[in-house]
Amino acid sequence: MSENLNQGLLLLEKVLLLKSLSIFKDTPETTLSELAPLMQEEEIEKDGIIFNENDPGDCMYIILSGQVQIHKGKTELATLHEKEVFGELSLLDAETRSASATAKTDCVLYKIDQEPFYELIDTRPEVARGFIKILCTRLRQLNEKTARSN
Amino acid sequence: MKQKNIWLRTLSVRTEEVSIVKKLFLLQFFQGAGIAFFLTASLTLLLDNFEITKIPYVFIYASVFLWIAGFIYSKLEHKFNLSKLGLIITIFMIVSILFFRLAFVFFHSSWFIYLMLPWFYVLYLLNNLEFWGVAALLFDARQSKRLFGVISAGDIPAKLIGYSMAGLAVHYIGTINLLWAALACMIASIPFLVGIKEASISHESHHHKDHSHKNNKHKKSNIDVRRIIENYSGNALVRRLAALGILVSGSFLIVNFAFLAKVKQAYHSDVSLANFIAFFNSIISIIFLIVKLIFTSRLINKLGIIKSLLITPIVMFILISTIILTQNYGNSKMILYFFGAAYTLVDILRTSINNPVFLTIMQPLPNHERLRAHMILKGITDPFAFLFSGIALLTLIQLQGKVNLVSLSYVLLAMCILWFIGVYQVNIQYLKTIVKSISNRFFNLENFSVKDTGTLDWLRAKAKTGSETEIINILNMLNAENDPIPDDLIILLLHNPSEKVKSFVLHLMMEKDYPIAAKSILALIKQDVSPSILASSIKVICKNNIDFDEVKMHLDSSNKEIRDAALDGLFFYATGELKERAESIIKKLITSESTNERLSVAKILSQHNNCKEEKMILRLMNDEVASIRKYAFIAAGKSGNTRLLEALIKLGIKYEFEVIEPLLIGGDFSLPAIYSFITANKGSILLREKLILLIGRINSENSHEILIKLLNDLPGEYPSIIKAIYRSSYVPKHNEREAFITVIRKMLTQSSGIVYIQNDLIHHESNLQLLSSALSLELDSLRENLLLVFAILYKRDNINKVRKAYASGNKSNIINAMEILDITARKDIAYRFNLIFEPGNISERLHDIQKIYPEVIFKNTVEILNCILSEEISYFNDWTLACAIYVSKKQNYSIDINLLIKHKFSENLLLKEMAELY
Repeated sequence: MSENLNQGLLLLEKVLLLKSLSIFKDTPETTLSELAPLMQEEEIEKDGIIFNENDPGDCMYIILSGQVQIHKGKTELATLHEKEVFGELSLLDAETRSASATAKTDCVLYKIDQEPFYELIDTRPEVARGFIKILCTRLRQLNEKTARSN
Repeated sequence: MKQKNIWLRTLSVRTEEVSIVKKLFLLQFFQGAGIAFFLTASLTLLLDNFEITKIPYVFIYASVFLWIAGFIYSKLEHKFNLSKLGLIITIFMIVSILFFRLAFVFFHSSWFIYLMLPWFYVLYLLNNLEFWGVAALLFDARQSKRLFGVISAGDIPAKLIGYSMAGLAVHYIGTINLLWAALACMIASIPFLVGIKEASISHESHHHKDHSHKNNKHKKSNIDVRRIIENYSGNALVRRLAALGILVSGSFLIVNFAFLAKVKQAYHSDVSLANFIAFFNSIISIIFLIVKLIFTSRLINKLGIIKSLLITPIVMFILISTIILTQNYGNSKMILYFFGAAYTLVDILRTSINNPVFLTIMQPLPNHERLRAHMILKGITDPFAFLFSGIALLTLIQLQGKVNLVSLSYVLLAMCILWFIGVYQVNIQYLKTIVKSISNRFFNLENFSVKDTGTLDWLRAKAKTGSETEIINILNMLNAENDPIPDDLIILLLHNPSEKVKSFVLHLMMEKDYPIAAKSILALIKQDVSPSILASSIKVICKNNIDFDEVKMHLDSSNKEIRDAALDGLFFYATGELKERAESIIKKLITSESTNERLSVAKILSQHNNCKEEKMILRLMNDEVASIRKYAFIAAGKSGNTRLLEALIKLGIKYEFEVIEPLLIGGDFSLPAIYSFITANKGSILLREKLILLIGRINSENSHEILIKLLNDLPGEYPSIIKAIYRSSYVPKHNEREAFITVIRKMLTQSSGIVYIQNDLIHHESNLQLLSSALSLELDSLRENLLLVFAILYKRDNINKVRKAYASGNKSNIINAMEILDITARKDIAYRFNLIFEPGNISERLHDIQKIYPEVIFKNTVEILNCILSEEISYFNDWTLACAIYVSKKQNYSIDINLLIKHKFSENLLLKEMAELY
């Protein structure tokens, strides 16, 4: 529908996009609808740098279209595609980026900045609860993985 | 198709359960018929060949056989999976029937006839163990409630046909050849057992996992009788159920004996005996069939566990009492009839109600425990019942020299009374078990409190010698007690070398009055202390009116902390010239350009309750600096001043959440302002929601009254109001409960409306998944709110377990939770809630929902969308409304545009954006 309106995604569609991401698949749409207005669209041309290694991390990105290369120097670590997320931990802490991100093709990204996110969780604790739940799930999975590898 | 659905509904069977229920029914049908043929033959031959006084020995032999059979079964149960075991058991039953038939050919003595009736009980036990063992694994607690009545009814038509056929056939083939019919029926059951095997694979793998672990651990002990007894005593619910089971079976056996004694007197040939036994049992089977198919599951659902279990003893009590009361007037035939009636009713009720209820009671136990409980109930209680009733009957016969039915009646009456007590005990344990089964991961810590003087003395001594942290912890603990901390300890600790300890003691002195200790502070400030300790000391000196002149000189201190402490102390506690001096300085500071100076005043004002400086506070409340406002807001909250609190809440429109905590500090004084603000629909939705929750946090009688008032005034704010009430310590008074019941009813009606919409969405369109999941969220939210209201009205702990079970999303937890709700909440309400929120297919539940809530019929999707947007049947989340608009726009549904007007002004950006698309 948004294409017909010749605009970016509607807020509702942004919620659906968030819901389609693996990290938010268990978060209720009512919570995600608080997060959606924080999503800012960014268009990056092929080979455009999204961030460099050691830059302070203060936002997360969602790929709407295109491919993003995650790399350390010239060593490619991963190629991310549509509906994948990167830099999500930067929403919660201010650690530096552990790798660089460069657009492998022309990309449309959605960016969520840390500061408005903090403001949101000040007034909407359920958003924070949703994130804590996601982190707990990841921690559990990691624990299980470590236990298995031991 | 429709006809089939009506049948399924009548029998409370759901579509996905049809296949397995059919197989179980037919299995029970054929095995039941086989056993009916065997019983007719064995009972007839026994009564025909032996005296009635020999029957108690039959019971005793039966007890021994049953012990052995139960024991072997428990051993085999751990070696084979249940379907394989079922097959082994069936083959064993076939071989044993064949043996008895062939015995008539090869043996000329009648010893094996004497063993046939005890053997019937073994066959009956094995059939039960096999059948219920499989059934208990295949179904959960709620399915059990619905289906056990139906599937166990399989043996009733079987018995009906078996007994009728036996009655007819005996004239032509003779009693002995009835055993061939028994054999044929048993063989016919095998294909259904094989069919069930496939369906039970997944359940069994879980079951076996449990057992393989247990097997290794207890391999040796499983063949130990002591182990079975230990198992029996290990679980209180199983223990009580077993005791009740012994009582139930024992009562039945004694009634059975009394009845057989009269039958033996009345009939003398084997054919007439077989005819009577077959005819009588056919009649019982017909009544059985009606009770089981139509009433059992409904009765258990409607009455609940305890009342269902009480039906049989009540009926027996009435009949036996009648026998005792009429013994002087009635003749022997009348007593026979009464015993006949008692035998019939007890047998019917015991099998059609007691047994399924027993099975239902066992469902909250884990799988392996449930099976063990089943084995114990059948494998241990029945033999005990046979043994006890056999011995009791033998003793009575020995004592009286004959069979005296009146004496037996008194014994039965006593057993009825024990039965009532047993039911009560089982119910208590059932409730405990069901709560435990979903809550064993949670526990509550009890509050720690020091009361005894010995411990207090020890703590005081420790406070003198302990480390910094120890001292502070001990002081905290002592401070929490009602008695003040001794002054000598306070004085001692004021001189403690630790800055933290000193500071903490001074903090305590500001909180509570320690006049003697306060005097020693003058000496403290003359020592070389830090500015922070000096500032705190100044405040304590002023608070205790010790020496204002000593403080006066600190008004000119270059250290801000010390100056502010002096200003604070003199302004609030001094009088006359000193107070005026402090006031003039504060007035200057309040108009100062310096943020820090204004902040100092705000901090000073915020530290005192009931501060009268309305103008000063008001001025600072409107300061442009957030940190100054923050303290001024606190000062307003602490002032309890109505005008300041009204001003504070108005500032909420601008500063939103900054006002929440100060209003909480204002407590009861804030309530009128908050109420007016909310009911006037001022501020954002979010702020109003926070304010409603705040009323709950104030948690006073007045705040509770306001919340109840809001419940009536603002039905659209139910979720927040309910949450606020739930979070407070509110306990509804008797006359207030009805208001909550009304709320529950409304929310249940709304939920049913959403269920209807969801169901219609499934039928009208397949591509409205977005709207359907939004409605699921609505239902989740309604369910949660309903449970919060239940928690307000009923046992909070139990309801919270229900909430946790739903939050876990685990089906078996939810099933147990629904049972808890059944027990905890009002019956009709719990029933409706469970009906709407039971996990599973909506359309299956719809028929029952329609009986309570008139169906909302939608002709098409547009009507559904209009219904949601108009919020006719329920208030909907902004998300659901937005989804409805999105769907209508995307799929070109011509919805009523007028319904969107109000949403164009919505505070919710997402909803506003959607509405503006039109």
